Amino acid sequence: MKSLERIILVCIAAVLLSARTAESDIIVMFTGPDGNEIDFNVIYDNQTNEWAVYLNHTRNGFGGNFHIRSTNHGNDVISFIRCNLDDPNPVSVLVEPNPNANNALVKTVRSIYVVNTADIHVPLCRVTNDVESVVVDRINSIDAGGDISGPIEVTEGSIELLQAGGSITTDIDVSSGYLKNIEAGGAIGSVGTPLSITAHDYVRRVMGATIHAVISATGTGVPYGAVARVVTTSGDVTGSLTCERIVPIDQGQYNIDWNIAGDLVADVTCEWYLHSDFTIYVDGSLEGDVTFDLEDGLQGQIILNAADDGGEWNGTITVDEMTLSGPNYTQTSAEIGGGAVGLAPFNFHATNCVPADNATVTAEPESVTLSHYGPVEKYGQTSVSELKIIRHPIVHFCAECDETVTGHFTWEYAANGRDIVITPSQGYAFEDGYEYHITPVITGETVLRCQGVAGNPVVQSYNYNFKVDVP
Amino acid sequence: MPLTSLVNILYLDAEQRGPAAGRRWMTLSQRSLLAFICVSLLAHASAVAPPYHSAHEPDDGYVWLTVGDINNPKFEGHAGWFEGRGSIPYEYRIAQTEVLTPQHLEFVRAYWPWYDGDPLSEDFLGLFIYGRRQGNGYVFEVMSGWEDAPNTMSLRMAARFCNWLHNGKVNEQWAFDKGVYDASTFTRNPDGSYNDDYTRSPDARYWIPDAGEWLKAVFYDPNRYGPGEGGWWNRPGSSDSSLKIGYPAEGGQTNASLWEWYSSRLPAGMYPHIQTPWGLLDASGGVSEHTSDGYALGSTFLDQDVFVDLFDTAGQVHTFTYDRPERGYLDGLRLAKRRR
Repeated sequence: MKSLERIILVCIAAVLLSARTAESDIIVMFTGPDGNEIDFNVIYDNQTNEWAVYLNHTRNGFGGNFHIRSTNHGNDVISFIRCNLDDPNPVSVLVEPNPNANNALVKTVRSIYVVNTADIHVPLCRVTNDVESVVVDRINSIDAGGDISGPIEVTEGSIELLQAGGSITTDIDVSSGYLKNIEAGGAIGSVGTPLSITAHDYVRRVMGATIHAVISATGTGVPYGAVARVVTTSGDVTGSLTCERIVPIDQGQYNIDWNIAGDLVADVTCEWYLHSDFTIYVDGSLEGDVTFDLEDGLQGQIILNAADDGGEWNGTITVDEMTLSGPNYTQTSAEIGGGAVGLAPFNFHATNCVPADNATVTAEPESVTLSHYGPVEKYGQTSVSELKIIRHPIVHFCAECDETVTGHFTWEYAANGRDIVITPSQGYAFEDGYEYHITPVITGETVLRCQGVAGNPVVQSYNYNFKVDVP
Repeated sequence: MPLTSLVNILYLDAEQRGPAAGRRWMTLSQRSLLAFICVSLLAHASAVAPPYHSAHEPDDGYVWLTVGDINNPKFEGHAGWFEGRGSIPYEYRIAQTEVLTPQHLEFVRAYWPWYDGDPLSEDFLGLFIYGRRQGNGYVFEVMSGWEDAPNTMSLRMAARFCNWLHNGKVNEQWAFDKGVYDASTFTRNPDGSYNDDYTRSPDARYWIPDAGEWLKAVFYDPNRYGPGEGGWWNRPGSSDSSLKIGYPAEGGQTNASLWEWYSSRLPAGMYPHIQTPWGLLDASGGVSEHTSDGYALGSTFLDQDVFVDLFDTAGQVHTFTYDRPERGYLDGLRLAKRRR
């Protein structure tokens, strides 16, 4: 090592200290209680052209804040920051922009680690390139312009934000707190070598170009063990996700939808349920196995092929040991928790309609519910109908007997977006002795189309039938 | 007349007349007596009344406070940040609280047709507005229970918010793009750098305070060392002491770090008795606040408690936004407004 400089500054009442070596591009400043001395070393290794920072003592051991800055934007690499402190109060370590050097940033931090008893907190570690290993008590924010590649571990607290302009390739472990946000411009993990993302309380958002990770919220019992949002901006999710609940992390509603720009290859195991406010959008195919252990575990919506680009339902979805077989599964929404799984373009849900498709009812229904596997909407002119309702007498089937009665009815879209509740207008009814056929309009300017699907394709062609035959 | 009211009248009178006006009609003994009375009353009243409160007025749904004492002493700096800033050679107004979620919602509903990012993202909606696809568009609502809370927004959205207010809330694209800030500069280069320019127009009616304006509004007290003897506090709440984290009923003074992810509701103005020298609420807690310098300042209820004291220190930066101006996460907006 070319230079080693030990700095012990004796202070009486100053609030702010700074020190650097003669050729240092790294500055360490301290803010904290008044006292007698702080002790830190800044070492430059001209073999590796990297800096080492030893934090040894704060004023009277009362804690405080070490501010570590560069004067040479994007050029300084810190090999490690060694926290050998025994303060009873927390000590914060900030790797931050240098306000006196045009907000210069350190290039890379290879390691921040603890070798003594003080609680070490990292409110901010912001660099132009990479952050490798950070193993401390708490982290507020790690913001790397490049990659985050070393182990990230907090032993007591939580992590507010891990942000990488590039990729995240390291395991992340929050053993007793929460993990609020992970975000990468590039991939999180890699195909075949998923990384581990673990938090006790909850995982609020994981977002990357692609995600290849074993994600788990390990806590049990409300409010722990929750996962909220998973987002990819360009590709697949592989690996696995395990939690108790997929729920909003903020009470009330939240921007919680999953948006997966590729395929959902990962297995998702949820011991309880998918919250009713959630929609999981999978632009591509379902290739993994999704399991909700609770009997009403699927309260929200899953949309497959949300990009309307050939996505398929190849994996399995199981609710309370009931497997939903393919896109036209027969379990009613009520049987699985109130939610639905739809492969776009959506078909109508024959068994969830009321009355069910091809059923015969023995009393004139006050209303009829036409149900779909995913949310639908009318598109087009207000005065033109998106449904067509035809009836003919049960006893005399003939083409010329068909009577278009669309105008005898009005309808409303249910709050779940999937159901259309059709009600006779004043003076009309679903009359005894008739068979009714309800079809969507899928050509022309006014159509019934899918919501939440790229391009809003029209729904599948179908024919919903039922008879009214009062004894 | 209550003691606090008397004190406020004395202060308002002093503000309106100015120190020179007062001296002309008082003898030395009168001044001494008045000074003694003022100091005594202030000492007695300090526990129940803000030490200084400028006249404020409701306007546009915001309560505006006037920050005066032009050419005040500059901020000495802390940890190297903002040294020499904070001496402001003009009066300006600043909102008593951060922009609330319903106020932000009005903007979101107006602006989404022109937003070119993901309209369901936190960058656009902040933390407490949610959106749903509906037809060719979206519907947006405030999350239940957060109607009285401040919301977060990106620096770019904060700038467009100011443009929109400046232009009288006209719901046309130009009204979001110009007026105070030139949104045509909100672009990014192939090397990842940004071209954003947050220099406000000379005739701006509303704007994002710069760091100096923010620091002065939060930490500068025109009576820090006695009537007319201005100086800087080190913490929000007209104090050099850390604020106590907790709910008001517990004797708390700030909701910084108090956000409980599963149950809490944290409205703006929870601590009406904790004010900056100019009467600002929630300078600690709420959300951290954008400045046009590209820093967000002040702690937030989203922080972990161990970081609150650090971020509440005068001149300490909470978030750096210039390198991510399109991102919204922890930071909100406290509006500034031109003095009438």
